[in-house]
Amino acid sequence: MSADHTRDPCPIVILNDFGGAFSMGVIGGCVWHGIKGFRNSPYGERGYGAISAIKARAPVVGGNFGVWGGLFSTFDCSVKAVRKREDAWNAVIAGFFTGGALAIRGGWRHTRNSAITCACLLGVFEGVGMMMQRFMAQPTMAPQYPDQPLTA
Amino acid sequence: MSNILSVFNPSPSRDLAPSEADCLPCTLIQSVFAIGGGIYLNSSLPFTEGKENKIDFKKHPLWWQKSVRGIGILLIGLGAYRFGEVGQIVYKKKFE
Repeated sequence: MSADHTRDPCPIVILNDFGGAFSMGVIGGCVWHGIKGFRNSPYGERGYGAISAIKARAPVVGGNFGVWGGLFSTFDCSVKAVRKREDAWNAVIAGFFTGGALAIRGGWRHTRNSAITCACLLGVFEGVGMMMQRFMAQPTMAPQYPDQPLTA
Repeated sequence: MSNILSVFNPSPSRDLAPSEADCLPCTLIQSVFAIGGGIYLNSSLPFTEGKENKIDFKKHPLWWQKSVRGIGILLIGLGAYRFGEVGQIVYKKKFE
């Protein structure tokens, strides 16, 4: 099997994932807390309430997403390096470790539940991704050749 | 490609080529991460709460604390092993 030279090395992918997840969290946090701050503010102060809620909470959501993304990517790279194989199981195992690692301060029950939930969720995502790929793939058609002329 | 994006758009399964497995920055990062994580798990930081640094034994029973510390020791071992591999890769690149 030949090496895939289109991929970046792991540290760059981890940074990339951390940044991507952080940005996604900040954008989602802006929308979520903007609406929440707007709705929870009195009339006349709604715009100000939305802005202050975004300023207070959106970076926190972004940070949470970023930590999850960075940790998941780190675990994914580590699992890939240990197994020396790239398949759907890497993401499931990495999700298990990420969920567990993030919940470890909450006690053993919280760690167990979080690890299993995260692994199952990632397994579902992988399965859906594979299904979509198969669904979107073009069906292979047999080539059509012109009829051969009759020979005498 | 991003590891998160590859969850939603998985690439076909394959074994890693030896040239990919000998990635110096990847091995170094894994080594540092494993040693750091192991040290964290071996400390009392995952179990303590509040300013008084008290441990809630209902949430963190002794068997759990010992298991976490055991995982920490395994992680430090993995980190040391991978650090040895970093040395091997550097040696190969310099002298072979």
